[in-house]
Amino acid sequence: MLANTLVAAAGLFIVGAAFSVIYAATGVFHFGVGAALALGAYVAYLAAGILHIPLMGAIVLALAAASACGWALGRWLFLPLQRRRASSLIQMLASLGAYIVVQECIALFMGDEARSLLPGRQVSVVSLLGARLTSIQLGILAISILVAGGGWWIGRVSRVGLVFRAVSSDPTLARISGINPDRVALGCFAMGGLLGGVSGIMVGLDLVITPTMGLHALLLGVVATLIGGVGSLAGLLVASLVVAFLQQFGVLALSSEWLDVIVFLMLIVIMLWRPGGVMGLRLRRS
Amino acid sequence: MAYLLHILVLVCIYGALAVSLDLLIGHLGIFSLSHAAFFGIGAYTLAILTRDLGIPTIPAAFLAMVAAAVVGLVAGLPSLRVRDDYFVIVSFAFQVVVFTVMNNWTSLTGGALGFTGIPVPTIAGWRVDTPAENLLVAAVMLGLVCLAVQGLVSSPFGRVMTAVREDELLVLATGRKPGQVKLEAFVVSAGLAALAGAVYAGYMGFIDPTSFQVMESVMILCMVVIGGSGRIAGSLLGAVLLIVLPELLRFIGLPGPVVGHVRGGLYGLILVFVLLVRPKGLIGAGLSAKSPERGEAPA
Repeated sequence: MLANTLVAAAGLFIVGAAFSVIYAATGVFHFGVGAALALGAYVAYLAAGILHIPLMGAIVLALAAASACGWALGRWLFLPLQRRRASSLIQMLASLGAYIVVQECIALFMGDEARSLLPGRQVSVVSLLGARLTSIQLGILAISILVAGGGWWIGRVSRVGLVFRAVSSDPTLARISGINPDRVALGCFAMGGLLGGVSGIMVGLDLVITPTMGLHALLLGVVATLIGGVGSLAGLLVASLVVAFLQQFGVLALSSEWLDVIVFLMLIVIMLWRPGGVMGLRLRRS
Repeated sequence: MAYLLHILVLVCIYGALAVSLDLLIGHLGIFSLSHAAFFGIGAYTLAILTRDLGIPTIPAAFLAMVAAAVVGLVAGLPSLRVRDDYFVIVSFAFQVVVFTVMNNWTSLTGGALGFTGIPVPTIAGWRVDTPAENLLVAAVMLGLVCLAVQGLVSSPFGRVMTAVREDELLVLATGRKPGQVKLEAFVVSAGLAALAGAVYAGYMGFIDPTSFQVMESVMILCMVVIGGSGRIAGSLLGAVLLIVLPELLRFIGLPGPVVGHVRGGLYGLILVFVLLVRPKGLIGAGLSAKSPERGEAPA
């Protein structure tokens, strides 16, 4: 039970990180992360299941596709919109439109049915501190720790993080200092796509993939982000754990259909009570 | 002919939904992704009241509006605390909650299998039975919704709404309450959507939760944005386009399951295209398309 909570939290954390990296840097509420997530999962499925590329190769291919998806949406959708100074709501809607196109294309070519990335393969079970985990779940945990640590290091220590925060807090000043905000933004879009792809594959390996998986996973990640507070990696981590815990133990009290209700009601309550998120520093980009 | 009438009834119903949603989008600048929820609350309230409690159509439709208005008040509360994209997500969350209730409270709503046997609507002894009669009712409903919205928008209240959209602080400084204006608009918008829902339930005779799911909310939002917000004609144009265009797909001989996905993809494409090329919508008055926080940044 505890192990399952940790794995679910790890999934939420990665999606939340994918969403935050774009939202914090560019102010775009990007539904396209969901598109990259589903695209990554389906590319991995196609490569591994149909073309019989070894799993590792398939994953690399899928991550490349997901990053490319994130980058392309940034390059051809958001830069034109931002150049025209479209409001953040317009950009959000555009990303929603783009997400829908990707989702329906996947459904059109791949069908609606749920698929597994590992059809009929035996998954080894590992015992860790008394909890039983599949090797895949162990991998998910390891990757999340990597992402959390890497995210912290990039954000706070490296020069990339400095540039990133510069653009995020004041694009004009960043430009004066010789930083090209567009390039940084595109990097963030690609990064968000990459992380989206990671979580898509994680979901695909652990559970099943469907064309609509992107939106569902993204929203739960967004809920965790908003509850934790945008721009706070620690807040996201804590919120992921809390949301995952509620999900896992909510099932015990209620039937599983009501899971989403618990999570979304929690979001509504938090937004009414503390709109900036529990550990957030600010309500919006000022 | 019956098919044509059916399409026209749908255009009227979705037209009313788009016009009532535009009250929030075009005039208050609040994007809400929960309009299908109010549509559904109206439909289910009418269905339950007329079938299970035997209440006549008109009072039932009125009660449906009241029910949705009350829920709309609650749904509007977060708009006092959070803005813009945050509110979109909160309204989205609200939509998911309402949908899940419709889908899972089986004893009340019939659950995923749907709600069957809604009685034929009877208005003062007149049984609204044939497609043509239903079209008449739907058209009258659409007319009423447009009148209500037009009346509200051109009243002093409408001007305060526009002011809230442009500068909430300024409204506060002039001694009016922006929060109250928002909540009132939410109540009206939800009530009007419920009226459309009541007509829909009476017309179809059968409803199920899929008609009120998230993608429906997205579609209604698309209608407003694509047609053009801030103007009744814009929302109506959007409704006509997004209902009629996909129907044309049927005639080019695509198989059934494919049509749904092509239609969905088409909505997305049109939405992206309109936002890129003509962000005000086809014939919209335009919401404040410039974002203030990026206003000073060099282009």
